[in-house]
Amino acid sequence: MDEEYTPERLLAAVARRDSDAFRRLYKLGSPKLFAITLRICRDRSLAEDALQETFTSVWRRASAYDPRKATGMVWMSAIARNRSIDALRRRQKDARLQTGTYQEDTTQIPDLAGARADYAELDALLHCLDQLDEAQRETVLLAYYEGWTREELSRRFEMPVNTVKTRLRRGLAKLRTCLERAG
Amino acid sequence: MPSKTAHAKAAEKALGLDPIGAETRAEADLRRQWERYFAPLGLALPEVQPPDDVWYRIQASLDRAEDRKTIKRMRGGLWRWRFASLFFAAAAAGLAAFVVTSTLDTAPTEATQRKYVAVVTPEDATSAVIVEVDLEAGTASIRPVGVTVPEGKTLQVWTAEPDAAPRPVGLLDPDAVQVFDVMADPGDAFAVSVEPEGGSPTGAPTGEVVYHGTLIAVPD
Repeated sequence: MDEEYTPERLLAAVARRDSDAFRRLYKLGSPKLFAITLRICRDRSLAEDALQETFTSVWRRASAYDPRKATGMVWMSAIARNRSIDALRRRQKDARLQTGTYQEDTTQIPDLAGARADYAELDALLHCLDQLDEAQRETVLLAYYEGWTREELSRRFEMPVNTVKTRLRRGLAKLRTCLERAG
Repeated sequence: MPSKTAHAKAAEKALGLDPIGAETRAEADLRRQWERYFAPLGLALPEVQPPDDVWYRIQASLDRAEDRKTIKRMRGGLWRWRFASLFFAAAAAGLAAFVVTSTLDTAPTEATQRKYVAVVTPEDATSAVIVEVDLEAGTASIRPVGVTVPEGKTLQVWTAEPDAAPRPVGLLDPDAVQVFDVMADPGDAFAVSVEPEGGSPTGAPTGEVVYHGTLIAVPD
């Protein structure tokens, strides 16, 4: 990556209302962030809306970005996920209003094994996710990649919401122990 | 050392299971830690080039914000979104006053940022909810005044663009000023509904709406 144009530097310039830096930041970050909004929204037009909202948020909030707390891509990817989940919830609500039911989608967890070598952090995370039992891992990944709510998870696993919650919390505690050991 | 529960709550917010809502600095730091933990799952996905159209739409939406700034300058001086209000209490519980505070063309650190709040209630009203919206930061500060929560229930705050379905903002703490992440513009509505403990189970208001109002911007 060009030293001068790291996401962190570009975000600092965007905070000073540098529109050229914003254009560069979009060019640099949008393919990764679009992959995220697309994965969560699973609908191109919804994903494009979420990407648009992500970058307008980035422009508005760049002055709140603190490079000591996260890399620029991590910070922007969290915004992209939140905007995607907002978009998804809006659409699900519309769908429920129309049909009176939730949309039940079958889902596939992406295979990231090929990306392991590029991301040391991914390797640690996948290793720790492997330590969870299968249902725990699937719960975490469905929430992360599909933006599922506890209610949707409870229907999927045919168990009460509270049981889903307890199982998820056990999984998260295990994940944390493993990640802290790794990090 | 954050507790197990604090970690669980932060992780659930990072997963998107709960809205971020109001949080202390320590809670925000913990959530960011979990966002960092999970981030590789998203960032490792194969890149997808978005269509050019998205960039033009981003520019157009920022240009619209720029136009608003220009109009402000043309009007000269300290033009600002200043007050707004509305009152239609759907229940005897009271009414809400809503205020727009603009920081459209000022950085948050500048000393020029000022806020104006007026609470206007009918004479018999005993409570109100004051909502201050920071358009630039995309946040709403929510300040309940004399609000009581019915036994075994939760009060939940919603916002909606005109003619759109309400979006959840967060759960109302009757004893605190809370700051929520909210993208709202003048003309959008805010409302507070009575919900089961823990909030609406459906993602839409299910109980009685006890406070309701619209953001109105009034120039000097």
